Order: sequence, then structure tokens, then C-alpha cells
Amino acid sequence: MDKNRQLLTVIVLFLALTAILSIVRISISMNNSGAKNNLGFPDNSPGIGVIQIYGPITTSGESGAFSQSGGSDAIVEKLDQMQNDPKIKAVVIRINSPGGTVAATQEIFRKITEMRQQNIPVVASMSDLAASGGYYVASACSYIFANQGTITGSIGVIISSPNFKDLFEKYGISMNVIKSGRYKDILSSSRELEDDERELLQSVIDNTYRQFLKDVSLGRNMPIDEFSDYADGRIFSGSQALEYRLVDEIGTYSDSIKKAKELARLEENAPVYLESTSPFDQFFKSLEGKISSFDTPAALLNHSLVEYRYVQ
Amino acid sequence: MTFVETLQNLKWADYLYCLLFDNERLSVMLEEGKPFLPATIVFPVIHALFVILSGSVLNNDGSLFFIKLSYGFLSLSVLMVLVNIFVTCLSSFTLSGMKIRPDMMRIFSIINLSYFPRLFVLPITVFLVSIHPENSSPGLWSTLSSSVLTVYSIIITVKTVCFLHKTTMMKSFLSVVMSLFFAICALLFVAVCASIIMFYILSQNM
Repeated sequence: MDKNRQLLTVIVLFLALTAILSIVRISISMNNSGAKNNLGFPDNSPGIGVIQIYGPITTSGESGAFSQSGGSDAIVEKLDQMQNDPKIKAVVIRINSPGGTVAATQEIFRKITEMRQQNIPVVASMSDLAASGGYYVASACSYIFANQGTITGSIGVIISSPNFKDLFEKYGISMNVIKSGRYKDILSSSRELEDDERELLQSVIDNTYRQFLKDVSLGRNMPIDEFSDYADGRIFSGSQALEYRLVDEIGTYSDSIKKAKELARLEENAPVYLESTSPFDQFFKSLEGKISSFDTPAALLNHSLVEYRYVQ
Repeated sequence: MTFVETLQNLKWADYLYCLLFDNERLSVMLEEGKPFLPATIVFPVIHALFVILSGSVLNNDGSLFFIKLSYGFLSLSVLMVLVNIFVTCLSSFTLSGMKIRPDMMRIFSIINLSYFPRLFVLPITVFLVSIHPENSSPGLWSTLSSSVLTVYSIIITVKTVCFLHKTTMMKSFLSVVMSLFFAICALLFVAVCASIIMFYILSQNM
């Protein structure tokens, strides 16, 4: 049996050797074909990083069982990784968002500003919608592309809360409220808003609105007077936004990639490092999108935040 | 006995030799040994890897190779082990129907071991792609040789199950082939359902 054992050992070693050879062969053919690496695997050639800001901007964002959070925390973290990654020479931010909460939007704005200060070009590419907070984020970028039909603008701040006073009265429901100060239950849905409360909220809104104008002015390098007349919450198409100098150029996502490469002085065939990872992630994300796309009534009732948001 | 000692004593080589050339002796060795040999699961797992490697050698995959080697390898390995468990259960059920007392654990080990000849699909593919004579199609020859090796694996399983249960070749053939047929039907059904669901979800998201 010893001879047979030797024979089988040789066969097994032969199989192992073939496996190694085939891996070497595949690696060589991948190098020869110049396969671009955009799947999250190690590559050291300088290129462009792409980040997507899709949907409402909130701090924690929506996260599912299979995917990471898409909130401002995650976006800032990704931007931070790109800022510290020596191979990322410029960043393209693809925006399709109606805006979101004030702090979340401002955190992304600050991060982009910081990247620009470190001479990392950041190009915004607007998709269907980049309104309010979506525009706030775009305004921090070095260069803004919009499509002709992109909905943008909506520079303004909003806060809202439902008023169920009549409904509660009809059904004999009353709220027991014990509070430490008279404004503690401001925006309560069980009563009318008082005049002084309205005044107080208006001052908060005005203050955050001024922050918006100041940051847009800073990001676009444009005096506030130049755009304050139409910064009244109105929306613009991409072409109108170009007229008002809210965007720099009409162009597609591909144009923004080209521009980012140009600004970073990279070759045309420089790699593009996509944020999205794998078909599996995309599949699971699409599954989660199906499940989480329905807002529950409870979620709608809890919606009373100060927001840079375009409300349709 | 440690893993290194198991490798050094070369008893595994006896199993593989008997698997390829002496199925009757293999059934005796299986009967004498433990009912379940966990190490046999390594064969479907290595086969999954070799199938992916041979596919990539044939197709020059590029970046897709990494996805195949990570997600593809894991999914295919798990799928193969699950299919083996399914086929084992069905074979045992069929043998019970023929009034033969099935030895499920050993059938599972045999099915896992029978993947060994199918590992030769990789050297054959590498050889075919390397010589690549004009007007030849390495993909076609690789598929053909893979089919021949699969048939050889089935023959090994049928013969060993037959010797193990001391039954006729026809009964053993029926139990194994029918189980495989049902497993393939079940896989096709799952694949079709998954494709429809994926197509629906992706079309809704476009």
C-alpha cells in the first residue's frame, strides 16, 4: 500500500500546485488586461474617490441589517478616510437629496470645507434633487455640476409639527404635561402654538437661516447680497441655478469625474474608487429599500425638527 | 491524533486510492472506521474553489475574480454541503423504501469523498487553456471533461453505497440518481424563484 500512498500524495500535491498555478495565471491575465480596481480591494494608484449622499440627511441615517448607516456620521467618516488616504487626490460627491437636519448638514459642510483647505478638490454632481440641505452640502464643494433638470435651491429653514388639538378634543383625549419651564413643550401637538412661542421659534429659524446664507456665501465665494433675494425657499432648475451662479456648470456625473481628475491633475484613465462595494451589498440594500421605504405613522408624528429641507 | 499526525500517517491516501480504484475496499474501510468523517467535507469545499478557479482561468475575469473568490466561494461551498445533506437524506429515504436500512452518516461521507475525482477539472482546464490549439474551444472541452468526472463521481457513489449496504447495483443506482435528480430540480426551482425576485426588486429600483 505504500506505493499507492505515495502515488496519491503526488496526485494531491499536483492538484495543489495546479491551484497555485491557476491563481498566478489569473493574476497575470488581470494585470495584462488592466482591470480597474473599484471594488474595495487594495490598489495604490492615485485616483478619485466617490461618495453618494442619497435621501434625507440625518446624523445617524437609515441603517439596515445588511448595510452600514447612510447618515452624516457615516458620510463624514468616509470623507475622513478619503482625506487621509494618500491615493485619493480628489473627491466627487454625488447628491440626490432634499436636505435634512441642520447639524447633520453642517457637519458634512465643515468636513468638505476642511478638505478644500487641504487642497483636495471636491466636485459636487447633482442628480435629480439637491435642494435645501442638499444644496448646502454642494455649496461647500470646489465645483458644482447640475443637470439641466436638477431641482436645486430651496435655500431656507423649516420646522413643522402637527396640531391634533381638535382631534384630541373630539375624542376626549388630554395630555398630562409636567414641565420645568414654560417653553419645554414648545411644538406640542396637543395645543395651539402661543405667539411668544412662535416668536421664539422664528428667531431660531432666522438664526439658522443666516448660518445657511453665510455658509453658502463662504462656499461659493459670493457675497450674501448677490443671492439673498432669491434665497427665500424657492427652487430652481439646473439651468436657472447656473444663471444665478448657484452652480458652476451644466454636466453629468461623468463630467464631474472628468473635472475632478482635471482639478487633481490626474490622467484621464486614473482609477475611480467607488463607495459602493459589491453586488451583494447593492442587492441587500435594494431589499432594505423595499422594506424601509414606508414611513410609519409614528415616524411621521415625531417629525418636528429644524431642517434645511425641501418639502414637496 | 493531531491534524499533522493524521496527515503524516497517510491513512487518508488509502481512502482516496480506494475511492478511485477499489470501492469495495473503501466500503469496508468506512464500515471499520467512525460512521461520520468530518474531514470529508473538505472535498466539496475544495471542489467549489477549483470550479471558481477553472471558471476564472477560462474567462479572464478581471476584478470579478475577487467577488467570485470571496462571496462566490463561500456561497458555493455552503450550497454544495447543503446539497450533499439533501441528497444523503433523500438516498436514505429511498433505501428505506426499498426495505434497506440506510447508514446516513456513511452515505454522507461517501458523497463528500466522491468529489475527489471532480477536482481534476482544474488541471484539465489549465492544461487546455495553456495548450490552446487553433480552432479549439477550451471551454467546451473543460465542460465535457467536468461532465465525465461528475459521472465518474456518481458511479463511485453508487458502487460504494451498493457495497456498503450489501444490495444490488440497480437499487443503489436508483437511490443515488433519483436523489440527485430531485436535488437538481430543487436547485433549479430555487434559482428560478431567486432570479424572479431579484429581477423584480432590481426593476423596481431602476
